[in-house]
Amino acid sequence: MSDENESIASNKSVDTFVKDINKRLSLPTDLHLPESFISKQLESPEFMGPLSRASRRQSLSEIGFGRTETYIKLYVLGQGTYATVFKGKSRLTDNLVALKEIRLEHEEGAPCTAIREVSLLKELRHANIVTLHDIIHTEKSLTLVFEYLDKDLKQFMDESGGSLHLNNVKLFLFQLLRGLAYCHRRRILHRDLKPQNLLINEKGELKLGDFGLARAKSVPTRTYSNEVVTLWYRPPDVLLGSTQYSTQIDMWSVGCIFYEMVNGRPLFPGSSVEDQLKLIFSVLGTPARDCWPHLEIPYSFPKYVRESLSSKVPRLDRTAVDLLERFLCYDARKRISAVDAMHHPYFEDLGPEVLTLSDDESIFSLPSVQFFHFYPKYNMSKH
Amino acid sequence: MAFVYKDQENHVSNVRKLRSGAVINSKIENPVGKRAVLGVLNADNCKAGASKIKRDALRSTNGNVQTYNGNVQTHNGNVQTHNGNVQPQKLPNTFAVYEDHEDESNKTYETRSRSKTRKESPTKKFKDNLSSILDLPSKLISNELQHRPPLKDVFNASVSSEEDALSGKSYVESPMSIDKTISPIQRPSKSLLKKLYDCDIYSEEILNYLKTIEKLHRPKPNYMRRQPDVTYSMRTILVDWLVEVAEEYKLQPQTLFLAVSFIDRFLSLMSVVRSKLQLLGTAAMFVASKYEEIIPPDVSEFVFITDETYTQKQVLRMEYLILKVLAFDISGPTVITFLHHFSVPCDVPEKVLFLAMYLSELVLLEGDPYLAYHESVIASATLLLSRYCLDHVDVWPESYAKVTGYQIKDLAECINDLNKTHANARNLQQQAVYTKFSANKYQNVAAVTPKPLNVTEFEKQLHMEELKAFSNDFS
Repeated sequence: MSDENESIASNKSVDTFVKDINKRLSLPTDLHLPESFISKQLESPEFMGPLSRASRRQSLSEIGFGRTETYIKLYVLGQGTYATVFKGKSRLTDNLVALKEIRLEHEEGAPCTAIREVSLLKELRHANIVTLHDIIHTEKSLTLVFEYLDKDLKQFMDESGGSLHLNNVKLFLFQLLRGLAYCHRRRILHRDLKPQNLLINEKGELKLGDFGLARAKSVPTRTYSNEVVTLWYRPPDVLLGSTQYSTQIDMWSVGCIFYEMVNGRPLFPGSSVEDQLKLIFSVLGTPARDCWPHLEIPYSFPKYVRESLSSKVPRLDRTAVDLLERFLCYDARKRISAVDAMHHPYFEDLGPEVLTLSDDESIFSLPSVQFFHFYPKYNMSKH
Repeated sequence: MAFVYKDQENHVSNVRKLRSGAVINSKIENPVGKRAVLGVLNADNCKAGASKIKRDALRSTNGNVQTYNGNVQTHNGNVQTHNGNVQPQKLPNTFAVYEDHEDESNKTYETRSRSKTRKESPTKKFKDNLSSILDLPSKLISNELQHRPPLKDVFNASVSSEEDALSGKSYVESPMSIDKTISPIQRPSKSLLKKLYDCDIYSEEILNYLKTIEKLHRPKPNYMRRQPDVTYSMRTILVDWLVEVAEEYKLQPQTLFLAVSFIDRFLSLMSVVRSKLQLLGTAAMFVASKYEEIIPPDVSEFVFITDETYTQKQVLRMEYLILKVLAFDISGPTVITFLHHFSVPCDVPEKVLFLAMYLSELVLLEGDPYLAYHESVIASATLLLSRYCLDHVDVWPESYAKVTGYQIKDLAECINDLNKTHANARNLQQQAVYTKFSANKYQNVAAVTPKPLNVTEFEKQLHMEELKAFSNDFS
């Protein structure tokens, strides 16, 4: 009898102890701490002292962070040139994760895309940016552990058979702008926005992913590579070789994505740089020669006359078309910024609260914001 | 997306192939059979300064050279004809190494056309400096001599493409991609840049953010006390060498500043033996290039610049260690980040900016006292001192104070140190920064004379301004 009491008492103390550890190491509460770690910590006399950075790091490693064994690979989600992405599961939390495994065995060591993606993502904590949970870095490979999201915007659009509900378009667009404004305020350019890089979960939350092409911008003397952003979403000044750009490079892509969500097909699906420019000019009009004084246009184009965009997007009202036009502005300096776009009247009916959320709050934490679910499985889960 | 890693993954440099070929085909007199650094003595061709000859003579006493002597003699005439430079006709035996290098320098033309402009090998200087400061024979530090290549093969290899190289068509062999693959960048006019920046509604927020994150991930100001084997003067030599490397490879200033910050942060956490200090510097530069450059140099280039003191594997292993120890927190702001972000809203005149850049590179050389200052403070102080030295009447205009967030009194201590550094710049043994900023491209700001400084003078000026503002309020 007394033995039992004792074990209950010690169980209790273990519980509070685990809570304490979680708090001290600022870990999520749903964490399973390995028993070996707990018993070791209970014996350790210096546990109650203040945590140094080194001891925190050591504790995290003992819990299982940064270790391959902590994650179970389920199956391959996709394969890229230098990385393989697995769906996986964390033994610590039982949560699903996406494991992006980058091979380091090639001659040049860690790829610069990986170095930039990790170092920049470590700076970013936002409800609309994919969370980097953990990094497993060995000499042979670098594995980034991301939160798992069901699908990307491309898949989502394909599954909805073309066009999305306008309510959802607005919610996706707003979340995209919110995540992007957060990056731009921290001098980070994404430089590869496209539906495939926007991840979506069943709640309708959208998160920016794949920061492999992202970089921190500096002013004013720097030039950057113009070989950025997938062709269809690349702004015309960059297509023409501009290496001097800023946050506006991402805003053009936002405009293209906005159109694609409404119409269910890409706005400018060009096959080459010249074809891409031709498609853009045929819709928005051939620009005047002095539109980009610092750039040369090495191709000749017919003089297309600009038509009103509203005929191309009949589903959108005038306010929405106005916003779309502001994204697709030839002059990068006049292209609307992410912060300004969030204040555009198009988003007025979301209510003013969406503009004052803290960084880690989802817009769906507001009762007034509702995602429209179409699929039976989502409706089922609601009941 | 392909462009970024194309360069890394698919690039097997011609030089590497050529090099390994040469090694295989050679009658290996030297079992190591490695190519030593080339272009080392290109400069010696042009200006065979007395000191250099002396140094080389000294080196030859290390032995291991004699083996190649015969070879050298044979090719000597050849070298002369192609280089067209005046060269010592008859050299005493002690100068054998010197000739030897000349012959190697010939190969430089073939592998690296850019080294024509090279003044002196950064690597060599690094080692010589280090040996002088340690008062050790250079052999202990430099294993260069053991890695000397069989010259015959070097020569044969060079013959094939020599003509091309000398007629300026030598764009084949360089493993460096920076100069070639990138399309010519037009430099937009200053006004355009300004306009672009003007419309940047985020500039203020970004500055605030940068000032917040500069407080994270800092080096420990007194880490050197705990380093058993390296010293501040070794650090200075290392940084001076990195300045030359950055110049040689036309790397961004930001890359250099990042690399130095990686070195300091690494040394704050790990102890490093002196023989691995250059490896740390090289790998730090490699990581910084990958983060910052549009097209970073290949790892083989970084092996090359160390005279192949280290292998590719060692550089990659050190890269792994750096990333591991710094936990990938490598995107923090440097002094140059702040200078750039200050310069547009403050509308800093070009010459002031160049002088500030010169001062901040001098700062890089000195761990003590500058490790203790925040980057934004150093950047602001360099701007202030530059205005002072260039005789601007108002050394710290209101707009500067507003943008940087610092008043003169916040910067006083740093300005004092900075002025001493500036005054002492010509007395340093390390002159890479001075040479760099003596160029016309930087308006020869290195020649700006340091002015005696009295910080209290500034404070008086500030005080006067306050009084003026105060009295204006009442009038």
